[in-house]
Amino acid sequence: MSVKDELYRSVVELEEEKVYSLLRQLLDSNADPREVIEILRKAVELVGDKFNKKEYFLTELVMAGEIFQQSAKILEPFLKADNEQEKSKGVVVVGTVKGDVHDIGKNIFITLLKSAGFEVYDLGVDISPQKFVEKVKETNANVVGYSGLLTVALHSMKETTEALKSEGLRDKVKIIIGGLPTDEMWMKEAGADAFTDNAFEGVKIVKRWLEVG
Amino acid sequence: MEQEFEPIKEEPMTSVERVMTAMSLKEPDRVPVWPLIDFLPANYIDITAQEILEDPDKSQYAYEWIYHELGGYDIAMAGGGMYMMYINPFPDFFSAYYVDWRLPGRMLGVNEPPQLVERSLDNPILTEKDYDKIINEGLLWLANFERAGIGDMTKLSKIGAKVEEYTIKWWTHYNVPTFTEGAVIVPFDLLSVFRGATNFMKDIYRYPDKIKEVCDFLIDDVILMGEYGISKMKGKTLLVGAVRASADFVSIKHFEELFWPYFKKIVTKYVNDGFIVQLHMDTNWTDRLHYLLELPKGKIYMHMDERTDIFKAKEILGDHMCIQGNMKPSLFTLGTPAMVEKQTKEIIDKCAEGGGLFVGAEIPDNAKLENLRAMIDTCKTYGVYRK
Repeated sequence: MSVKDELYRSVVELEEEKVYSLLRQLLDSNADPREVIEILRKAVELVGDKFNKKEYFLTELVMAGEIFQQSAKILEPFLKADNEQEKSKGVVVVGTVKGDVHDIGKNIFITLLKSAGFEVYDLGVDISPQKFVEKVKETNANVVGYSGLLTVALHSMKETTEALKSEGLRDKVKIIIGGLPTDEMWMKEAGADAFTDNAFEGVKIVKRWLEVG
Repeated sequence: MEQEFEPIKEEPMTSVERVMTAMSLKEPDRVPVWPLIDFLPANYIDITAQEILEDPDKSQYAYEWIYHELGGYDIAMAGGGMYMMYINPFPDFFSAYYVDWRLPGRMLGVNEPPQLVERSLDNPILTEKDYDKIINEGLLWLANFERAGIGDMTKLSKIGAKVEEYTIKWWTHYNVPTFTEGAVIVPFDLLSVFRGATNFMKDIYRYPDKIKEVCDFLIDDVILMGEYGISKMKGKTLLVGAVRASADFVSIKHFEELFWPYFKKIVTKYVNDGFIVQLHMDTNWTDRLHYLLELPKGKIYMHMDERTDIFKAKEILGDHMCIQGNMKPSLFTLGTPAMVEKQTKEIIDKCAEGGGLFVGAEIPDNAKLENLRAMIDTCKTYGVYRK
């Protein structure tokens, strides 16, 4: 097995320390950092597939995201030295809506979006419609993600969409809502375009919208 | 607060008889129904969420009001119970001293129900270096008096006496059992809440042996803490919650190593000590329901939310424990009475046979009363067992 194959395998098997040492080995031997990050991305995708098949669980998804993020930090100086900046695949603004502070799903969604190459703005929790509006304006976002678990969150999601509408931004963005209780009824009520209770699926939806990969 | 309520229509069994019969896996007169109501009355009468939390007389009034407003149901919460839960001096999931619970009228508006802030990522309650500290010093050093103060703790015995009085009122005057008189979670879940779920999931991979060591160290204390509070109030019912080890979080391997032995130990001990044990299983447990067969038979009630397949649960656990589930909280806010009735009937059709079923769900504070009535009335009519 080549070092690159071994890297791919150890990300999928979540062997954290091994991943970092292989990364250094590859960089020492002048491997193309862009190629290396693609390997990592593909490995995280396989972890996502295993998650969907219930071979892996949320813990594994979180761990894969963590390994990717730490690896990206190791790669960063090499990618920069490579001069040509990596182009963002799209801009996503994500937050847990007003009145709700649950963020486990939101954080995983954000990690996976980043590992898929999106530019992501994490607003945090208990976010007012106005803050969503401001961030969307400021970043020219393509996609907005509302996260929420409580039933009160639904009302805030609806208000946030109303606020985007009244600022003339609704047609410029796609809206995805996420959280364990979200369903079609929630999506319609919230004036969103998609819903998901699965962070990995959420990323797939965003990719489809922005015609990535 | 005094008000005469309309008497509840009599039925062949009292709620206490009905609930106990269903829990012992026999058929009562009809299917028991329990809407798990927390702060809902604050949206309907002139009592705030803060008062429901802090004023046992007002909260008792609020719970008696909703009980009568809905025509009676089978399990209640005693006034003041919420205070005992959130102002718990022991390290527990609901304790505002240990977990970042924002409470109404303190860090939230007076009418906003408590919210758990998952202090994940860079600001956890417990750092990864603290696992050894727990083994050396226990958990009490984690207490934080920002959200609940010493003054709150001094009120506990007075409010505890009220809770006891109102508990007796429910059991003897209304013949309705009060559930959730005490609540505990296993060390695994406690650590997950203290570390923040995301951090803890990484720890599971990075320090599995350390986590196991801490769980072994904490388990007996956790068992004692759960029994202590409830024995002070002469309570009978104890909730054992399960929040972070379902199929929505961890693999069977991690479940088996770090969660299940401890969960089994707590539940078995409480049943053997004579408590009525309620299991409160958040998120999806479908692929691990069969483990529950290792728990004592005919003594336990288990609540599942809509993510666990209740029909599968009936198939696997129908001869073993009383179950409740499959109703989505938002149905009671967004749905219609017809939708609620349809779902109630489906659950009764598939799960009522032989007893061992409660119908109900956790009820959002902004639920519509007509939806709650639809569930309750369907249980009282369609849910009658024909002998």
